[in-house]
Amino acid sequence: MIYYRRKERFPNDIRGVDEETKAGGDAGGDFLSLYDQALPYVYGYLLSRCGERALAEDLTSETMLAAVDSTHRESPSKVSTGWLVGIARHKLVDHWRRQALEERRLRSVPGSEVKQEEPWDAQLDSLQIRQTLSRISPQYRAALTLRYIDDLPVAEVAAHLDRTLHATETLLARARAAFKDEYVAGGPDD
Amino acid sequence: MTDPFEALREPITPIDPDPAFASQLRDRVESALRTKGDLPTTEPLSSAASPEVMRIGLALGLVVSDKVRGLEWYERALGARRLYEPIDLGGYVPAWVELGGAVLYLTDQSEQPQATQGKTKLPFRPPRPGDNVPSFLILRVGDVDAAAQRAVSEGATLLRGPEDAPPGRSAVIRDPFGHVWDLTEALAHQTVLDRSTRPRSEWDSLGDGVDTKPES
Repeated sequence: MIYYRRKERFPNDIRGVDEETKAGGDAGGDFLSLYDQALPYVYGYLLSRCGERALAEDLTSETMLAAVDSTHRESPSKVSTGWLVGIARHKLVDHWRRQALEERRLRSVPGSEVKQEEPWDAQLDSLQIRQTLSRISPQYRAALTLRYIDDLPVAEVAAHLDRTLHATETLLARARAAFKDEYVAGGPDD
Repeated sequence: MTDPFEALREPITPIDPDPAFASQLRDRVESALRTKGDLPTTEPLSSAASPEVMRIGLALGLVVSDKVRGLEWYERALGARRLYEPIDLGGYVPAWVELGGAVLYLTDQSEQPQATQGKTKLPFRPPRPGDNVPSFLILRVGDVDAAAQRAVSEGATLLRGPEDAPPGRSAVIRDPFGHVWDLTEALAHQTVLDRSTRPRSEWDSLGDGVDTKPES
């Protein structure tokens, strides 16, 4: 299945998209126009990160309905595409957390010792990045996705994963090692 | 050398979802916006959600023909307290009540098909009048006679009692949704396991709705 489409980089993916969405007035109508505008970003974010259409649709629904719920309880001043993508990120991390808990019942927790990280100089192939991420454990997938795919600072990754900064750095080191092992094992020449 | 992990960075690329999915979700969003806007309160009723209720590890899912009617009935007839206004959380309408220190989740078919779409249908149905039931609810009340009378006046059927029986006076009723309740002055496990726990202690009243007899 081809779900991976890498586009050229641009400095801030969603800046500018929000120009026309302003708070105030008819909050319901505002939210619906935001829905129309933001849906491809929320769905695009989720599909590219989870790689499964049905799951991306479920998480998109969860995101939008949680957002509606939130607009009724809080001031709608922060309503924006970026805000929705933030909710989507939470939903995605929650999904991986549940997945990690399920997998923990089936097998032991992945490697507890931290390997010495060796320098790794490689040009990574985008399709193989996807496949590798889908094979490593959900907590590693979550950490690497937030840190590298979403390009969040370590402190924000830590906040999403409910861990301390130090624990997050350790987790990221393990995740990089696991990713590298899995990437090399599933190399391009097989 | 460059960090190979930098190659993972991927800005958000908008992708249009399946149009049928997009329009269906839009309808759900629209309905959630509309439903909630109509109701005076959209907050959880935190005053009703005591710390004990927030910590319990078992809640009962009670299948009724209409959860909003059920909510009102259990409030009116048995003194239940709602924990949340019945608002539409996107295809799911919570009808959660606290009763006797436990929590009931009232459920009916109103979630179908939105919230249960694509999920295995669960073998739920409300009991029919006259059905034998696979489980029943035992509720400790301060005054069995008053509680039974109140329930019957609201449309419950009296099946037995009120009568004196170990571990305390009790009456058995069937509520209008088919569920069977043992309204009792004392719960057997408490009188057996803890002699110091007697009826008419902290659970004395049924809540706001039902008067209790004065202590004799």
